[in-house]
Amino acid sequence: MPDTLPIGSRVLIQPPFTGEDPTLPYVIYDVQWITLDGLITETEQPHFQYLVKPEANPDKEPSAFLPEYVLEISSDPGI
Amino acid sequence: MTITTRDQFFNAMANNSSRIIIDKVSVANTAASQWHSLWRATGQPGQGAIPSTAASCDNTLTGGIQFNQQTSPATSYFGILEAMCSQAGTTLEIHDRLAHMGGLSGTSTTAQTVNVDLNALLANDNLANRIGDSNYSDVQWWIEWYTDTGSTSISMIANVTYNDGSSGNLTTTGLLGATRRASFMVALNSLIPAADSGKYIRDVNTITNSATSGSVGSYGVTATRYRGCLFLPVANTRFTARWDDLGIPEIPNESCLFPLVAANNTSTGIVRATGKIAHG
Repeated sequence: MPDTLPIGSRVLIQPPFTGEDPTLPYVIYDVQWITLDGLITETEQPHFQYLVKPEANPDKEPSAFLPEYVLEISSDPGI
Repeated sequence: MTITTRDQFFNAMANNSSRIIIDKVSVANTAASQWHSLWRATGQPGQGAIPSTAASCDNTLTGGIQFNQQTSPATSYFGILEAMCSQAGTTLEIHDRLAHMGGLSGTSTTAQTVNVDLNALLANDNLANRIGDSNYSDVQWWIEWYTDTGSTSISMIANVTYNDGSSGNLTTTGLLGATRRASFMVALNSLIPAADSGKYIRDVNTITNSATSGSVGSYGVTATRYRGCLFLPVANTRFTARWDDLGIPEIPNESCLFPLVAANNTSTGIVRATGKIAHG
C-alpha cells in the first residue's frame, strides 16, 4: 500500500490546476481510497486521492486531487 | 443587415415574423448565481438530446427554437421577448447553440477528448456567420452537465486553443462544489488567465479532472453566442424586453436558439416566454 501524507499536511496544488504560480497553500483534510477504472487487480497498488482545503479558508468544502497534483511543503498536524 | 429603417423593422414585426414559444418545466437542484441550461428541460421547445462527439448545432435539432429560414439578402432579427418565471429573480437568456459534445466522465483522471473546434466547424451549419466576430470574441464557452457527477468535489482543466493558435489551460480550481447537477453550466471565458488576456477561445481540446468525483455522470463542452436576455424580478409576472432593449440582434439562418437561466433559487422555476423574430 503506498504511503500517504498525513492529514494536516500543508501542500501546494501543482500546475496546471493552480495555473503557473501555485502560491496558495492547502491543508490535507482527508484521504480517499478509490477505484479509478474498476480494473484493479490483486497485484495492483490501490489508488488514493487527497481532499484538501485552502489553508486560509478551512470552512470551504474540500476538493479532491490525485497525489501527482499535490506537493508537500511542511507538515502541520495541528489543524 | 437588410432592414435599415425603423419603419421596415416595425412592418416586419407585424407582417413577416416568426413566433417564439418557450414553456419549460422547472429544473431541480439549482442554486442562486449559477448558470443552468434548459436544453434538457422538457416542454417547448422539446427536450434536446445529450450529444456524444463534437458536432455543430442547427435549427433543426430538437431543443432549438424554430423560425422561418430566409433567402439572402433577407435575414432575421430578434425583435421582442416576453417572459415569466415561477421563481423570482431569475434571468432568462437566449443563446445560439453553436456546437456541443457530451459524455465526459466524472471518474476519469486522464485527459478526455473534447475537440469542439469552431475553426474546423466554420463551414458547417452557417457557423461562419453565427459566431459573430471572426476572432471568436462573441463566443461563450461552457462546461455543461447532462447527468449528475459524484459527491466528491473536483477541479477541471480545460486545455484550449486561442484565436491566435496558441494554447493554454483554464482551471476551475476552487469553483466547483460537490455533486454537480444536470443542467449546471460553468463559463470558461472568465477562466482565461491574465497572461492570456485579450485572446479568445476557438477550440476546447481536452478536459482533465483533478481526481474522481465518485460517479461517472455525463458532462460536455458547449459553445454558444448570446442573443438576448430578460431579468424576471417578480415571480409569475410578465416582463418584456422590447426591440430597443434587445438591440435587434441578427439571428442568422440555422441558428439553434435555446434558453438558459441564471437561477436565483433551488430550482429554475417554470419558464414561459413568447416573442418574435422579424424577417427582412
